[in-house]
Amino acid sequence: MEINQTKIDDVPIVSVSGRIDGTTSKDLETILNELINQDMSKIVLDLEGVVYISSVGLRVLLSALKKVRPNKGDVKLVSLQPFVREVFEITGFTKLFTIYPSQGEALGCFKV
Amino acid sequence: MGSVKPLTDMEYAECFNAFKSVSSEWMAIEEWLAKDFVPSIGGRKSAKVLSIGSGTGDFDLILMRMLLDEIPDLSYTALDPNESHNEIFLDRYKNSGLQLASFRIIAKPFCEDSFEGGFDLIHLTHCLYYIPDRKMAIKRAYDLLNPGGILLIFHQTPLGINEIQRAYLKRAKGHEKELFSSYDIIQILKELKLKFNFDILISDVDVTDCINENDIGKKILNFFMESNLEGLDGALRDEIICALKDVSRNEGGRYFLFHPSGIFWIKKDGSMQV
Repeated sequence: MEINQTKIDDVPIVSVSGRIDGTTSKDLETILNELINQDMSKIVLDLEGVVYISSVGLRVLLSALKKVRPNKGDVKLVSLQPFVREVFEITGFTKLFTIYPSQGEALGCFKV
Repeated sequence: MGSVKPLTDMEYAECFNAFKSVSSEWMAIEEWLAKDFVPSIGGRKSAKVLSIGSGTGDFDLILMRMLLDEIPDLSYTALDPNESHNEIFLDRYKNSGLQLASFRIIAKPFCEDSFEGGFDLIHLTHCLYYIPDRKMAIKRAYDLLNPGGILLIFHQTPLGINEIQRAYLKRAKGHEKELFSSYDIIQILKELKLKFNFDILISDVDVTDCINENDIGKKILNFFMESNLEGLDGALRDEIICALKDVSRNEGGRYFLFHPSGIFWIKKDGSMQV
């Protein structure tokens, strides 16, 4: 798994590629927790390059969402591959997360 | 496949207690009730509650206590076909010190002709696995609500125990009747055109004992597979334990299975439109 971070208009964009599983999800969790601990409650998570996500990975995403929501924050997801989208749909995660086709659209919704 | 037997009532109770001791689910539900749910329904003087599949009352005793803090005149009806569970629940209620306006336990399964409605809150907590016609049960529960009443459903998501069940329940016990997740509930609610709120609570099960194959672990695994696995083929048992290890995360040498709880919250508003 590879993780890249950028920031646009003070909104962190975390781009992930590869597999988010029991071995790799700890790295993603650490990065998301660092952002949240820096009072970044609006986060864009680009999953375009993610080919697989396990239940352990889903837990990391849900945990981040639950931490930012009380501060009126959100974790907006971008570009889910079909397999990952299917996992989100079956597990009901699509009812909790908003998914956007591009980083620009996700960022745009934070500005509204 | 080996010889796998159904759990007796006593075995089920032991296995459930073993599961409860290593699961954070009840704590997560209790926290959600206290922070999000109960405050939102406060302000009324009286309420009628129906618990479907109340079991030994683990969940209901928590809910009763919380509701009584907000609603002084509380009438509570519990419904469960298992009479030995009902006796335990009744004893626990009597010893709880809780003072409800009325409390009754009905030893019947939940079906269409069960009884009159007029409830302000109905909950189905981890019981839809055991009801053959789940769509009817949800529709019937909704119909039994007063206008403005709330139907609460706590149920497992397709993650955690359900992942293991999907892979092994049929192979281990020959059928998978109990296999039913929040995904299926969403489909039913859409078919019934009922508006609903949905959330997922984070909770984990410490499955280290299952992986170590000690006595507590065997009970927990029995609970996961809804059967007494004593006679299960050794190779299949190894496969299940290996899969359990694969889907769990390792923290400080212990294995935690992400087993979140799905919550549906359906308010009866007089309409049936999405």
